[in-house]
Formats: sequence, C-alpha cells, structure tokens
Amino acid sequence: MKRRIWLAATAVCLCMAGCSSQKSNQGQEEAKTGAKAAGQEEIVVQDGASDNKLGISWWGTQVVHEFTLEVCDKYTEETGIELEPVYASWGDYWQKMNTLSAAGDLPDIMRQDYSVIMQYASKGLLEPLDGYIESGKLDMTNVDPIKLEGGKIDGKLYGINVGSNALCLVYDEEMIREAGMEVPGPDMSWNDFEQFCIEFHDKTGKYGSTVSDIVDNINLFEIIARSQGGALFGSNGGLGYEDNVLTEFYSSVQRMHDAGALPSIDTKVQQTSVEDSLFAKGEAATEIVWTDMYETLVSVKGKELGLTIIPGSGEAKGMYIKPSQFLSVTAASDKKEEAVAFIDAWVNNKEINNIIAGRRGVPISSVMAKEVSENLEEPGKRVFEYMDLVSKYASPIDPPNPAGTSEVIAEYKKQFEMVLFGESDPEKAAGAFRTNAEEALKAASK
Amino acid sequence: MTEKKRRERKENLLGYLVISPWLIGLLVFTFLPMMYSLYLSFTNFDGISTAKWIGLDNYKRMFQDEKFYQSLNVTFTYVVLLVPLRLAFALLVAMLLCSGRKGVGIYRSVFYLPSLLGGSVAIAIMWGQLFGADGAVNSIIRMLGGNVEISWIGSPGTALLVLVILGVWQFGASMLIFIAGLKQVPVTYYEAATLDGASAFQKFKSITLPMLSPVIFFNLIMQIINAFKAFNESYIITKGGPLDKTLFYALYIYRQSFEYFNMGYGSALAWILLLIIAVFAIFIFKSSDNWVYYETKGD
Repeated sequence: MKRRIWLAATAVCLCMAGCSSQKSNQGQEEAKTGAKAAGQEEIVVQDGASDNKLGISWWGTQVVHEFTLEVCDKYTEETGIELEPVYASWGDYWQKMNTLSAAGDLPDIMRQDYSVIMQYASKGLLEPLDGYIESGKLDMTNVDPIKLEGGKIDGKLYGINVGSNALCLVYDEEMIREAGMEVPGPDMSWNDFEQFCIEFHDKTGKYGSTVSDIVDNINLFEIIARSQGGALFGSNGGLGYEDNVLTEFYSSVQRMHDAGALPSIDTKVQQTSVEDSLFAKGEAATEIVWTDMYETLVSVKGKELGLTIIPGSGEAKGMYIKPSQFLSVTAASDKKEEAVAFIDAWVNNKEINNIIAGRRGVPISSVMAKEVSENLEEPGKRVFEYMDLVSKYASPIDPPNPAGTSEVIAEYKKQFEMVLFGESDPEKAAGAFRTNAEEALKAASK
Repeated sequence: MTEKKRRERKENLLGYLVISPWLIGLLVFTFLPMMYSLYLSFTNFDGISTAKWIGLDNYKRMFQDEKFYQSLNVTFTYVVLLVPLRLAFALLVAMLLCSGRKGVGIYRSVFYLPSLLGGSVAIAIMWGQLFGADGAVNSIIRMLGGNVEISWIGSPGTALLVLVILGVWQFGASMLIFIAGLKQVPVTYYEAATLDGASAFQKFKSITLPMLSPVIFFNLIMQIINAFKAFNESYIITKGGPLDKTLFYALYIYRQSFEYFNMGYGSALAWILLLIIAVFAIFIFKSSDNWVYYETKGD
C-alpha cells in the first residue's frame, strides 16, 4: 500500500515537471523555427534579459524576424557581444512587454512604436538619449535632426528612429494613360483628386481609388488637417482641427463613393491585406498606402508603379515622415552603454545597413541611405527617391499619439462608415466623432 | 471498522494524489488568474503602470458605454438565433446519420469537419468569397435571374446573419452527442409504437424527444455558453464591423483589454459576462425539472 502511494507521488511529480517544462518550451519552439528559417543556429528566446547578454526585443512579421536576427548575428560577430533577442507579433509583443515592465525586467534595447512610446516614456521606463549623443557615444552627425524629432517627448529624446516611412499615393500609370488622363502629381489638390477619381470612373468604369485605405487610415485625414493648419491631436488634450475640415473631407469621400468612383463600402471587410486590394487586382487606378507597402504592390502587379504625395498636402507641408521603428534603451537596464553602442551600429554600420537593405524604411543616416541606395535595385530605389520628394513637402511630425488613440481611431472609422452607409451625414458624423473621441481621450488620460 | 476507515482514507488520498496535476492546473491556471482579474476589475490597470484601486468605477462606466450595450445586443441576438438553429440542424443530421446505412462513418466525419475548421483564417476568406459582393451566393442569385449588388458579409443589415449561418454550419460537436444519445433509445419503444400505428412524427414527439431530453439539455447548456463566448468569427472575418453590427461581447473585452490598454475595464466586462452566463445556466438548470426526462433518477 505504502509503495503504491509513493509510486503515485513520484508519478505526480514527474507529470508536473513534464507540464512545466513543456510550457517554457513553447516560446523557444517559436524562436527555433525563426532562427532556422534564417539559416542560423538555434537561438533561445527567454522571458527577460539575463545577466550577461544584451537583451533586445522587437515585433514584426517573419521577414522582420529573419533579418533582425541576421543583424544580431553580424553584431555579435563584429563585437563579440552576445545578444538575447525576444520577438513576437505586434499584439503578443505588447502583452509581453507590458508584463515584463510590470516585473521590472524589460530587455536593454526595445523596439518602440510611435503610438506607445509616450506611455512608456511618461512612466519613466525609457532612458533619455540626449546625453549619449552629446558625449559622442551615439553618433548622429549624419542624421538630419528633423528625423529625430519623432522620438522627442517633452524635449527629451527617448528613442532613435532607425527607419522612416511616409504615406503616399501609388498609381498605375498605364491604366491612367490608357484612360487619356494625366497622372497625379505633387500639386494636385484634394478636390482635383476627387474630380480625377470620378472622371476616371466615368471613362473606364473602374474605380479611381480604394475605399478601405481611405476609410481605415486616420493618418490620411491627419495630413489633410495638417495641410489646413491644424493637427489631429491638439495641445489641449483634445482634437486639433476645425470641425468643417473633417466635414468637408467626409463629404468629398462620400461624393466619390456615391458616384461609384470608389468601391462600395460594404466590400471593405473583404480586403484583408494589401495584396488583395482592388488596386492590386487592377480594378482601381490609385491606392493610398505607407511606403513600406510599395514593394509588395509592385511585386503583385508585376510592373512599375508611380508614387506621389497625398493630394491636397503640397505646398502647405501637410506631409510628414513617420518613424517606423524606434530603438529605445530601457531605464532599468544595467547595460546602457552597450545598448547605446548597438543602436549606434544600427545607424552607422555599413554591413548592418546592407543586411537591413531598407526593409524598415530609408536609413536615417544620409551616408547609409546613400550606401544602401547604391546597392539597391528597383523598386526599392523608387521609394528612396520618393522619400526625397516627400522631405521637400514635409514638416515635422506631430508629437506621439496620446493615450486613448486606438479608441479614437475606432471611432473615426465608425463615423466614416456611417456616412458612407448613409446612416449619418458628414456634419453630424464630424460632430459625433469630436464628442466621442474627446471623451475617450479624457478617460484615457485619467 | 477502523481498519476499513483507514483504508478508505488512504484510498481517497491516493485518488487526490492522482488527480492533483489537474487540480493544481485548475488552481494555478484558472482559479488564480480569475481572482486576479476580479481584483483588476476594481482597478485602473493599463497593463504597464501599477494598478490603482478605483472601486466600482469600471462597473459604473458600463452604464454610459454605448459600445457595451451594442455588444450585449449583438451577442444576445447571436445566441437567440444561433443556438436553436444549430441544435435543430444537428439533431436533424444526427437522425439521418443514425440509420445503419453503409459508409455512415464517413458521412459523420465529413459533417464533423466544419467544426474542426472553426474560425480559421481560411474559413474567413472562404466566407468572404461566398458572401461578398462578387461571391458565390450572389452569382447563384444572378444566375437565377435576380439582381443583387449587396455584399452580405459587409452590410450592416446582414453581416450578423452570415455569421449565424457560419455558426449553424459548425454543428458537428452537438451532432456527435445527439448520435450517441439516439443510439441509447431502445428500439423496442419504436417497435411497440409502430405496432400501435404511430406516425413518424408521433414517434419523434413521444419517444425520441423525451428520451433525448437529457442530451438536449446538455447540448443546450454547452451551446449557449459557447455562443456567449463567441470571438473568432467576428475577430477574424468582420473585425466587429460594419458599424459594430458584429461586435461580439468577447471581442469588445479583447479590444478594451489589449487594444485600448484598459485591462481593468476589460476585466470588469469579463466578470459581467460570467454573471450573465451563470444566470442563464441557473435558469436552464431550474427549468430542466419540467422538461428533462430521466428514466432512472440519479440516486
């Protein structure tokens, strides 16, 4: 009898050991597949930063994981400093980082996003980097100061943006020429664009642009608002534009939609990725996307595509260049110097930049941008040229989004959809958006 | 006597030891997180900073939250439409598959397949193809001479219905349980009824339904709970849209917690869902005395 109990107890212990080790293996499993795909040795992802390795974390797709792991390897090869990567997809990443921050165990270097960095910085989780730039440990001599603006919160720099992105209007030159029309250029106003879409639809029966990108991308309206002297978020904790700006924008899109120049709003749910947009399928003449989608679109369409700035921004300098990847050093790190050195290498090291090859946007260092663009082929080259064009029409980006932004975006889309579904009118929708958005912002800042 | 008692106690101990991995799992991975979420529901935890106790504020906030009502509305509509339809369909197919025809096992597997595919991305794309503006459904209607431009999955009026159809299509789990239940009904009852000249419908009403009522009861409870917790369908296929017409309650909890970083409010919402489901379960259990027939009482 006694023996039986002992046996059972042993079995239980074994079981539990089995369960727990299985759990911790899950993350590693993921890491292994990633590392294997990149053709490397197995890299083990652990829950936080360990004592002797430099912790680094990022989110992204498989492609991002692969080349970032490659960068880490290269860095280890050159400096002998071992890195400990932690990576996941966007949603999982923030869950993980939030937990780690609660435990005071953030990695030394973390990828930050423009929409979250403010929250982290204001809670004292990030290290200001100004001192390291002054002391020369972080070499920013080849970087246009305007490109660092995005990481500044209350005058202090909390993240180095290592890749830029901008909104753009991609167009199919061939389709537009066939319709006997002029291609859009930097001096096109938003009203011109409306006319352009309607005319294109009348001539060809196809769409002038896509509806999902216009409705879902609040940054498009942000550029419109900036072009008219406003901003999306004001300095007073509310919205920073006049209501009639949004009313006019909503009505213009409504006119295009109702004229059939845009796909019907009820088809929006069917577009799940940029590859299956109506533009990619050749049903629309233009599409408004971020520059890092351009390469994908070109490969889907199999031909050169034109790109220009957002209609209506032009001389008013509504465009801006968005930081697409911040590297921040965490405040609780005990290896800040090493972390800064890594960021320095990411910005200034030639080999590392050739590995990245502009896949996270144009390098911020002008020397590296030149280096990379020389080795670059179409279509990446075209994006580089476009970024040059944008910088002529761009003014500095507005401060990072306040807390509550995701709710504001959800509300913006909802009001937009209501207008296009005919359940609201532009003026009412613009008013409702302001009320609900400001309420959400207020609730979030409490 | 004391010897017997000691033996019993020892065997109980052994029993607990044997199930302890499961018990510990329940405690650590279900009960503790649940209690933690109960605590969070009284705080303003945002996932980053330390949680601050704010009493009942999260629960009060719901009363002014338009989306809370909207998501409740959507979820209740979904449950009310889906559960009876799915159960009826599952029972119908179960009865068809209960006859001893050849190859019935293959049919059962085939009919169970949709439940396995569930809310996967592939299904999302397929459903988009079927019910989109240029989808298969519209093509068929056009072939029959109808003139439709509507995207069923993208229009506020029909999106939820499309998700209900998807739900009905995934009837496999209930169907299997129904088949098992149908097999338990003694054939002699049917034979006797046939001799007495009962019609097929009479047999169904007076033999099948009462004999099956414990199984129906079980399926009903499980399906209601599942329907209240529905998440994948709208998260993957419609993303809660258009116009929040498919904003399931569980999706709203997810959004508040992980997209808007209102972990405290999300926890409070989750506890309200638990309460709602509990109320429904209790109600059905209480009512079951009146309509569930057990041949032998449990004691």
